[in-house]
Amino acid sequence: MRVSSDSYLHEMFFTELADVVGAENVSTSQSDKIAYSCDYYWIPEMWIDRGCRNPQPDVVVHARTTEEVSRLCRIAQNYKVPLTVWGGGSGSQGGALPMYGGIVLDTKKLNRVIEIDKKSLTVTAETGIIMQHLEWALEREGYSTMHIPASIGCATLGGFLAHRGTGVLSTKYGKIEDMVMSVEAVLPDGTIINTLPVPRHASGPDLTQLLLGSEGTLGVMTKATLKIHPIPEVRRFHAFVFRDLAAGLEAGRQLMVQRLRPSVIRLYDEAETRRLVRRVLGVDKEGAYLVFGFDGDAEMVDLEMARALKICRSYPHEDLGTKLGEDWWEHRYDFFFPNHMFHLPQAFGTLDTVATFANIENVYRAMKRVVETQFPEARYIGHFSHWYEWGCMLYARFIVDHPPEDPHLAAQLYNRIWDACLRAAMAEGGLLNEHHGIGLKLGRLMRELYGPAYGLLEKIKQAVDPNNLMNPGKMGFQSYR
Amino acid sequence: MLIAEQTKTIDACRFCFMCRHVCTLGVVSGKESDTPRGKGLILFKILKGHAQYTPDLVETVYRCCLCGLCEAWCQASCTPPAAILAARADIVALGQEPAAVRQIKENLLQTGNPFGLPAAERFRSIQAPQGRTPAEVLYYVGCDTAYLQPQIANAFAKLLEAAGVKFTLLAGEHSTGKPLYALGYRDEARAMAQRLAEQIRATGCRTLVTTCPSALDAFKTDYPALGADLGGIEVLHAAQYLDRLVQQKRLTPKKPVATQASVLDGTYLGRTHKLFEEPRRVLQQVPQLGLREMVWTRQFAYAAGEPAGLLRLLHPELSRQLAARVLGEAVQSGVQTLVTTCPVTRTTLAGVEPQGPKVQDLVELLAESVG
Ligand SMILES: Cc1cc2nc3c(=O)[nH]c(=O)nc-3n(C[C@H](O)[C@H](O)[C@H](O)COP(=O)(O)OP(=O)(O)OC[C@H]3O[C@@H](n4cnc5c(N)ncnc54)[C@H](O)[C@@H]3O)c2cc1C
Ligand code: SF4
Ligand code: SF4
Repeated sequence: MRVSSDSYLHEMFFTELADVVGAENVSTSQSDKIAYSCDYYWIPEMWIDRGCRNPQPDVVVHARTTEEVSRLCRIAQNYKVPLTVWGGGSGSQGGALPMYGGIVLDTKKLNRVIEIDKKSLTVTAETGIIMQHLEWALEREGYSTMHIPASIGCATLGGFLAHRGTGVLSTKYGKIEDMVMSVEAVLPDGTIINTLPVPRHASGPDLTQLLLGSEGTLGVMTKATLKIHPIPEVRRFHAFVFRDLAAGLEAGRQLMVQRLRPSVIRLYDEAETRRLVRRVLGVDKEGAYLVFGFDGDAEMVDLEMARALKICRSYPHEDLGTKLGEDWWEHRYDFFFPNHMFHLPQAFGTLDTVATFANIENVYRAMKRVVETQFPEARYIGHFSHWYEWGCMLYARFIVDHPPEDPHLAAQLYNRIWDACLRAAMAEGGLLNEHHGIGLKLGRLMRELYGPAYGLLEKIKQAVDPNNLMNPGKMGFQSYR
Repeated sequence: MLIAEQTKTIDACRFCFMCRHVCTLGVVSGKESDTPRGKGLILFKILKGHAQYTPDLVETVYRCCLCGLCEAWCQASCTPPAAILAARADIVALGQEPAAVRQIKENLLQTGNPFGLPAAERFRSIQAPQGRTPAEVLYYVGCDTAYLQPQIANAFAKLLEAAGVKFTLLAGEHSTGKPLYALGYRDEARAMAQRLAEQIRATGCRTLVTTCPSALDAFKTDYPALGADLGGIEVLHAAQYLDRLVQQKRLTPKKPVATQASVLDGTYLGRTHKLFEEPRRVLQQVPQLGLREMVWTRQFAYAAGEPAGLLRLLHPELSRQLAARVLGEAVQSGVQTLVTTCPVTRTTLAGVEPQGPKVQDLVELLAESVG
């Protein structure tokens, strides 16, 4: 149904929505239409900047309980109206944009901390809670999820689950998908389900993991249980500048393959060391800045730190000591305030990808080559910030200082850079994305990434959401009609 | 358009999410349009002529309590409250302010207070000398204290008398004009401010003391900008003045009145004028009183919607939610007595008080202890 008509059904639709959540939680105001028409994706920002028409919801609804979410899903089905979940709207992939209008379901009133289980060290919370608010609640009790992303203050727990997000301490504590025990979700037909209570079992495929990363296309996650950790006794950092990126990458790899357990390793390429690290931390050095940190019991941290220093010192380096490491931790959010972030009129994109140690440097160089040879108007910088036992994540960025003024030409250039970079990355064993998700931005490349396996994803989507009402237009799934 | 002067803030905030978790209104309503980012998106459209003010957009511009928490967190020196104030003045210039806003203006112009209560009843419940000249100290009571929390004024008068201070209330006292300014009526605010400044100067006082942080900010921040000349009169909030009197031993708290208390810092007294220590120093002199800090305190203290008392008038339900949140925070921090330094906050918290700790203004608590 087209919502923005003045038919009789239109009135019935709004009456039903208000009946579920109360009239004060249903908004068709122009203010909300504008505020929910732009997330953190560059294209809608550029559209706003140029005065274009952004995709707008017909109605914004705030649900307060799982049962309300369930009833809202049924209404969406009855009237065949698209429903797009919106957490914090901080996603960078256009994931929460209501491409076909309809209902935007804002989850931020689903924000209760339900239980802290101090025996098992888990927390159960509703998914609309702002991650920082969950952390503050846990901190009062001496715990942390250790999920500390730069968007901790603006993104919701549900947003991270939906995008398989990550935080700065992921190298030790994992990405959000490693932290989740189980989730409660509302399926498109309104059925409320719970996945199995613990994540390790041999009782069939893992439904929790199926929902993680589904970006609101398979239903609405309403509650989640996560692992928590005691706040560590100490947290120590150390920084180096390596002669070049290759030396830094090798040092980082050694930290991992020698099976140390750093909570953070962050290695900036030469260009980003020159620009961002200098501006934010005042480290004025040539080479590749690397910071790492350990946390936990002081004695164990000292031991691991000593091993790590020995490894790093065996590569061509300058030792910056602990202060310039701790400064990074202190200032880790500063990078994201407008005075430091890239901003319009610049065009910029975060090409975060992941590959094995055998491939990651090639992925970095392949994308760099694409930007430098095919797009002379663009620059390329990158850092490696989430490390695994087998490889690491590359947070590369391209920046175009003067994109075309015409919004269509700007979008075309933008998409061409994305396509060329990501195809080059995939050819070297990189993935489309590591923690920001797919959304509207990268859907068109999903089939290339997955090959025939994408057909399985499509079949799951069709089975769970046959009317294609949940967040249509995303993840490359068939368009809404 | 006055918002053109706020281009830096509007440009930055429209795509920035970095303070949304502390935005007082955004947190209680969960609405994107209530955050500095939402406001930035809307004001950017207006600024560029991509949208015109409609009743919906205007309504959103008035949904900000000017608490300044966004500014306190911002590392890019942006000023959303100043952008909001500019937008309101633009809206007023277009004659598009909401009826409720216009009603408050009318009240202020006709009765000198935002509630529209009779001017003659302003000091009805307050026992203190009025219009005494010359008086060293002029106590500016303010609308919220006078009409809604007169016991604060009475307690303050009692303390001043106990300290032997020669003081007076201002005969013909009326609003500072701050609510007019905050609603966007800059011309009216200027006229009211100049009129009050003249009345104050005419008393010949050397010190002007107020129990109201909004009045303090009006005198210290707004008046110089509005050409309302106070002629070098010293301006103090009651917390500062009481601190001074206690230090000088002109007031001695004797009776134990609470065993554990926390200061609820506010927007103007705290975030703007950084008067964090004064109320704490006073409390430390109260026998047997243990001072406890809440988790969110000083410049990051939760806001109860104090500036110019407007949120309570325009959006009573939101104001109640803010108050409940402040009290919830106090409960979680284990607070027994929550000490306010603002009549608006006192009123707002009283609306939900039974669920939380005891709420008392600093002045009331001290008066009890001095006996
Ligand atoms: C300054 C800044 C820094 C960032 N840093 C990081 C970082 O360090 N790590 C990181 O991982 N990301 C980061 N991001 C990106 C962003 O914060 C994440 O992608 C986050 O997961 C988005 O959460 P959100 O609540 O804002 O989701 P939204 O943007 O509202 O939604 C994202 C997607 O999730 C879906 N969704 C939301 N909630 C639910 C739910 N309950 N059930 C089902 N689907 C749902 C939406 O439909 C949409 O498809 C950053 C963003 C910003 C603005
Ligand atoms: S006030 Fe600062 S932190 Fe808040 S949205 Fe604006 S620029 Fe961002
Ligand atoms: S002043 Fe307060 S309510 Fe207004 S935008 Fe800033 S934080 Fe939000």
